[in-house]
Amino acid sequence: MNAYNKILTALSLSLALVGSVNAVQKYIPDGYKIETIETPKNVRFHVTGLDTAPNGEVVVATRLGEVWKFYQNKWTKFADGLHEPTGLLIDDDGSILVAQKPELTRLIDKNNDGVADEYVQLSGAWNFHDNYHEFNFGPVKTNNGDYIGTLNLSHNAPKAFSMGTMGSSGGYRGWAYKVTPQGEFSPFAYGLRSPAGIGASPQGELFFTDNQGDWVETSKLHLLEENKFYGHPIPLIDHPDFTREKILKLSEDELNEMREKPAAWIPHVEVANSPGNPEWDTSEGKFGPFKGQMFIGDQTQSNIFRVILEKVKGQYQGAVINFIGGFQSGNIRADFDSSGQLWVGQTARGWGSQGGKPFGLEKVVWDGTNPFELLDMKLTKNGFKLNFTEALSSKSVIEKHLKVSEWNYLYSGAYGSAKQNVKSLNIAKSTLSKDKKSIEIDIPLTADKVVMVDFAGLVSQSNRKPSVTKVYYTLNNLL
Amino acid sequence: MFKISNKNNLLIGMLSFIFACTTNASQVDNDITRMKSNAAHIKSGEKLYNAACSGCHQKDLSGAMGFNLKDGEWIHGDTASDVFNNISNGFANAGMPAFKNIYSEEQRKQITAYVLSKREGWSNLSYKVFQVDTKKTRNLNEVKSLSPVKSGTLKNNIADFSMPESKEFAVVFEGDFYTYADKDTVLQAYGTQPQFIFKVEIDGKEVKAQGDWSRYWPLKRGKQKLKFTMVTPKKPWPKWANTDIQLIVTNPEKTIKFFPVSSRAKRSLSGTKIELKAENTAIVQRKKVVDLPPYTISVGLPEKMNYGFNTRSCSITGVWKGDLLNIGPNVKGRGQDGSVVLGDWSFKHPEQLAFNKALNCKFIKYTRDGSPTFYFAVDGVTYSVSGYSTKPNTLTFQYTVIENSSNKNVARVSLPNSSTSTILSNDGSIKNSVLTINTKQKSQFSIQVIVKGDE
Repeated sequence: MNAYNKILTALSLSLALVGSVNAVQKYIPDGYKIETIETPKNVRFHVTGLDTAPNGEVVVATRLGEVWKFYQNKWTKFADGLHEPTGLLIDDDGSILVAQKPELTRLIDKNNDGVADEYVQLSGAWNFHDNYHEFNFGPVKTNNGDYIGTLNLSHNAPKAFSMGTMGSSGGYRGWAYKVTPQGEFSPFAYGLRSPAGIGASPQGELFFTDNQGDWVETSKLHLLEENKFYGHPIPLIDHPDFTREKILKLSEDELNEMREKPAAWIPHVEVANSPGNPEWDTSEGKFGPFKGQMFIGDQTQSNIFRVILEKVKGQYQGAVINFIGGFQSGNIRADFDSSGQLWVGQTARGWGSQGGKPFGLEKVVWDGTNPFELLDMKLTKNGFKLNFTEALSSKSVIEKHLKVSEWNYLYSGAYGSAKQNVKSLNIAKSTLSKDKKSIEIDIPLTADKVVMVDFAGLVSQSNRKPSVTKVYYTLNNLL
Repeated sequence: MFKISNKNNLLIGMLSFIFACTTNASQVDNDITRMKSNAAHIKSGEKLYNAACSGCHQKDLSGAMGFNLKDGEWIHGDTASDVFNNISNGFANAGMPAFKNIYSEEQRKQITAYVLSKREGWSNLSYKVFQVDTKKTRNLNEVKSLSPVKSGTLKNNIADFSMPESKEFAVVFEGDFYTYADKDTVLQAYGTQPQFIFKVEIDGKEVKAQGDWSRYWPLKRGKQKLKFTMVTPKKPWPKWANTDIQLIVTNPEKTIKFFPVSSRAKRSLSGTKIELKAENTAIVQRKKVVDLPPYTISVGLPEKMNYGFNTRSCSITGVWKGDLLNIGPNVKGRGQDGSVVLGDWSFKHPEQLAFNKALNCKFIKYTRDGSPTFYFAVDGVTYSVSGYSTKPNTLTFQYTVIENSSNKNVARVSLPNSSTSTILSNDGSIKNSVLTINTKQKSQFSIQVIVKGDE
């Protein structure tokens, strides 16, 4: 085989691999289905802002710059002409907050004719330089009544400070910000890259996702706390303690020491490439057995995945597992309505998605059937406890049906990281609980790893197989 | 004999018919070529075109029900006499009337001259593909010594870089080339890498490339001969480098993509025409706009006067007459490109209508019930401003003092310079292009922008 043929073979092999990874993955638990909502005809309906009101009204913001309301199966346009909004919140007084690129804006319908007549600037104190990547995500409302948003770094912006890929021309790019109800702006946290999803938990804690790329090894979920650094060095230029020169001198080890650990690493391609906002199931059972868990959509993979967190040594960490795959477009926004339906806002423009459609709106509904899936995963002294939604067939719970491996990622300015130090872990012992719904596995664990448990061989008592068989646990700390 | 004589007569008759047609066609071609360089004829042609043709072919000739009349695809021929005959005779089946019954010969020639003056891109485009030696390093001389493995003409006059069947190749595209007669343009190659070898010759002379990655070449105005040669480097090259390159004619600043020249560019630019035109009510649109600074909100009035209000400076950063915006470039793909104004500037940033001390301005809100109105505070005084048009070609900015609790008595507003419009105010006094207003005495004042020239 000559060199040319070798290259050709290598190319075709890698193409074949890419092809298989990129094939549309469809999976859905028993009892759930995806319903597609018909959006207004001849309107570019890329839903990038989404919220629902207690009466069931759905309000969306589109990338084109419009705000639409959906009530009793009828769409009405509420506002237009906004600058690529990527977030929307129905406020307590019924007004609508929209995060558009240059501004956080309150839309008010003063004369109650169903159309916004006042576009009030709540804040625009950060800097926007007309770069396409300078998104403004959010807002979410804190328990104190403040609004929190996140600001994307720029890309390919002339004169921006960059160390390769993403950049900042200053003015709090790559920061989270806080705005009081009176419109006072303050920077909140820094080191964010492409933080496309922000959410407030039922307890009022803030979480955000960041997209894989430079200084983000694989997409991740963080608890968002004031004055903390989340790993991308470029936003440090707006921090009073840093200068360009100082930033360029920081070693990867120094930056690593400074940064927060994510609550969950989200494995690239296998789970997500560009996750959206976290959303919690507070429906008290209306959406099935995954009460209190976090659901996040992914724009590239056109899927929804679950995140199951626990506190270990006072810090959040936990498991990530795919939930439903095969949506029509890229899932960037998710919101539970008051009846426990999960609405999903979609766009694929510019970045592509597994689902072939350029935009849309879908919802996930549950018909009451108990699915057979992994319910959750908890760290134990000796390994993990895996809880399932239905009793397992005893025969299926033998060690050879479970495969466990671990790896870590390499933090650097390179675009994403391959898995490092991938290692299979031997299960020393597995125990099935009395009710057969839980398995405890004893395995040798080390901190700062992602541990994957592949339980493809498991079967339920009623002889069902789970729709998703791999779970990924971010092990920052051991018990 | 009779038969022969008959045949001879027929032959003579046919010959004279062909001769007559040829003479006629060449006369028409000559007339129209001459008219193309006469501004008065072009202007008349434009008026006639806008009245009779733009309904089906669009004002910008980009086509709708009727064909695109400025690109390289001409189903019924692209010579002056072809176009003239088609205008004259129409296509009854396709719903196009015979304009010889409506317009005089001269008027039809004027329309033809105008249409041809708008031509974009290649005509008579030919191509040659060369198989390069995959073992050798590449250079342009290699092409000289090779015979093409494939050659021919391209009817759609769009360079197709996906034609070569091998990954490593050389290709030459050559033909007449049209770009705008009234403004500078460049030919830009997108998505290549520095190792790709290019040579551009205009009217037989090599033009030096500028830029390293996305290289570009300044074009002449109007018609020219353009030859474009590309030689791929040796593989392997990065996975994102694509030999199916995008060739696009842009403005020299490369902020506006005018028209595609290669097939991949044509695909990437499709869907970038989304025109916003205020018909019955005003349109307010917040987008990145070429030539307007960030934070500008664009407003289009049904009277075809438009302006930009900037929320950072509280200034009017541009006024233009015509339609509002083509937002297509800003909502296609990732939205890197700015929207483009659909009209003629009265003034644009950095010329602006600006309050002194505007650095400390605070934008408050805008309202959409009725005429769009912007609220802001400068130097302790809260104002509103709204643009309206009650006279043709005139845009009036009405300023109102909403609150002046600090009793400021003077406001100064710098007026922009404009060669195409007169900017004046009947309120206050103007000195050195600064309008001074006594805000205690006047709770309202206005500034007019009047476009010169047009009736």
